[in-house]
Amino acid sequence: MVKLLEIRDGVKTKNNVFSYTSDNIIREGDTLVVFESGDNIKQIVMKRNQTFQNKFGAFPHNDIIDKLQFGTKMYSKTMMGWVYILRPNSHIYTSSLAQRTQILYTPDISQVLFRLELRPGFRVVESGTGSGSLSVSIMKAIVPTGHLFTYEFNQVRSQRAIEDFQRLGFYPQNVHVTHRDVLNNGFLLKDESTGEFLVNENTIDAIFLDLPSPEKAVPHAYKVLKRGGKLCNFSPCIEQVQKAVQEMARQGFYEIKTYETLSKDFSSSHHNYQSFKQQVKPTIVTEENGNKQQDNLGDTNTGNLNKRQLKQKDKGMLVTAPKIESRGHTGFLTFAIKF
Amino acid sequence: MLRKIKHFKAMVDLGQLIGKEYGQFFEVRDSKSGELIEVTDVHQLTNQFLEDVDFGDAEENEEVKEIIDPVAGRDNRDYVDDNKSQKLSHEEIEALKKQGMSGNELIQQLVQNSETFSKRTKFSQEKYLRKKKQKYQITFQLKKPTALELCNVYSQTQPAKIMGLRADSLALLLNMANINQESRVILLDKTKGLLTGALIEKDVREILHVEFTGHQLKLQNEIFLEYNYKPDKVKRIQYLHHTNLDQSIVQSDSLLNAIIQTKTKHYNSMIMVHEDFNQVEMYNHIEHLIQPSASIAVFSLYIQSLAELKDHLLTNKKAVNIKIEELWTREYQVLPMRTHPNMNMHGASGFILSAVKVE
Repeated sequence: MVKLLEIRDGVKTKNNVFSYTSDNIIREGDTLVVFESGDNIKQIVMKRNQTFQNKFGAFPHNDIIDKLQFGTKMYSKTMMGWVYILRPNSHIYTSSLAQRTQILYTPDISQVLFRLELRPGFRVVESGTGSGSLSVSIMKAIVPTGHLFTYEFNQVRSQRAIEDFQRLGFYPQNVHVTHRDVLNNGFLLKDESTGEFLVNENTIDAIFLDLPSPEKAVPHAYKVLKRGGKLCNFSPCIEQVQKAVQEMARQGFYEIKTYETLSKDFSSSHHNYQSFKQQVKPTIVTEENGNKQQDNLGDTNTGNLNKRQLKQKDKGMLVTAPKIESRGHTGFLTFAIKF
Repeated sequence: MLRKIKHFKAMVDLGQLIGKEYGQFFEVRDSKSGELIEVTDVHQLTNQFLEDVDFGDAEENEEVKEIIDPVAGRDNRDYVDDNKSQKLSHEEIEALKKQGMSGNELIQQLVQNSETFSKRTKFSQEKYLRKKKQKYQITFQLKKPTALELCNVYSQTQPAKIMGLRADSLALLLNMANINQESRVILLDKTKGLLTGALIEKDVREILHVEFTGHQLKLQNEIFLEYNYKPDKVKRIQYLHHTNLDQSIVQSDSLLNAIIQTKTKHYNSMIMVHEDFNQVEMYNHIEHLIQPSASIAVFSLYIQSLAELKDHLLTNKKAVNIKIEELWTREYQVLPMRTHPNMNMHGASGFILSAVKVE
């Protein structure tokens, strides 16, 4: 698929999945998100003469490409139902990802990006690649001039990652996927054709580790990081963290800090509290009530409500509560800086 | 410029720091003159992670065992807190300091002259050393003013100034708004420029800062100025007072009308950290400028106002994937056999609403 080349600040960049377009129109080759409901989000790639099917019926790609905008509603051919078609953002991308491994979720990803202080132009190392959930977020933060070097010891996964990154418009200009066991072989990387170092000692701005024995990768990480470069380690078990932290201190990292971040989702609803003091029947409207009603309708927020919306308004007090299903643990994030 | 700041008990002359690199550590050699030496040994900063803790009857301690009761040194049963254990007097310590002894050397002197040090448990010995270090060995680091560092400083010292935004919440807010170098951001911000600076740091293309107060720009941008950005980066920010979005004003001014036309459905991210007005009203005031499928992220310390906004977006079908969440972040002390969450934590992350605008 050929994508438009864009020139910005003298740098040629190929558009990627998060790129901005002022007309907001969906083109062939774009990855888009089909939103049925909060639990049912799918990624599809736009190809002419193909059709997306779900329980509502058929959604031909030809009716979307060059015609519809991101963020609009689309009815199925049979008019049985509709879906929203959205441009992926990093959160939706993560939650609609085809998972090949356990992945990092949004709360952890956001901490990694912010505490590693990633910004455009950074050279970043990541291991392992896994399903590429974090990789895509890292690339989002470092394009157009930055580069991600990601290492995966499972050959099938590393091949799939390349396919994914190509589809999303990051490969090969922003990412290098290497099939390697870094615990034994480290991060130093040479271009096979020219023999030049791609990853050399003291050249990397930030490193992310998600490995079974992180302490074995810490010395390798120290080697390739720049002075002042940041390291982040993700480990689900505290024993791994303890070993990794000690190795970090031994190697010469400082500001070694370990965090655990979880998010709690809230649902909101309308709750009608009954009163045992008085029961106001809807048929009897006192003058006071009548005035109140009038005020409400005059309000700009509620001025143009239809019947359904008015009914919603009448439902009672707006209440919030944490959702019952909740994640209890993901992993510990340890950050450190090379001295 | 010869400005001095007070750091713990030392007066430090800032002129010495000009020409130094960000990230460097310094130790105050003399607290009176504020003379600095560079810290070159990283393990001086991280030694608490490296101590091996011995809980069993270690064989190499046999010599010690002969002198002291074998049980002593493993718990605090023989430790008396009577302030008499230090053989050096206050005057003697001061004299040593005047001789130019560095913090590290001075602490070693204190340990040698302490009667109880060897009777303490290893844990208590470490605690003693840390306390003494804080008193006699003053080290500090030169840090670059980044969004992460500024947010940490303000949330510890003046949280009200940045609307109670915590670093982890700021991280999630930026991620939920899908901030990247392609972003055109519409910003409703009362964090005195902390957020604006965080966006510039991510190299976003354009920021429209919608003003709701009549305050001077300088006062509103107090924290933004601390980022030390060059003018070319600041040019990406446009300021617009909210009254310029009122229908009646826009229609009466053709130039303004033309500008607003070009900005309609232009922005692909919206961030709101503002509580002066009703959040539903504020959103309705700017929503025509937001592109469909744009990422919306709103921060508030109060869940009620976000619930109202969520209800409004949901009933009017203005957005999908609407989520209200709260973060639970704990920092851990990770030391051999002594790993646990920190005793004190910041308990209020605030709440974040995220959504995707649809038509």
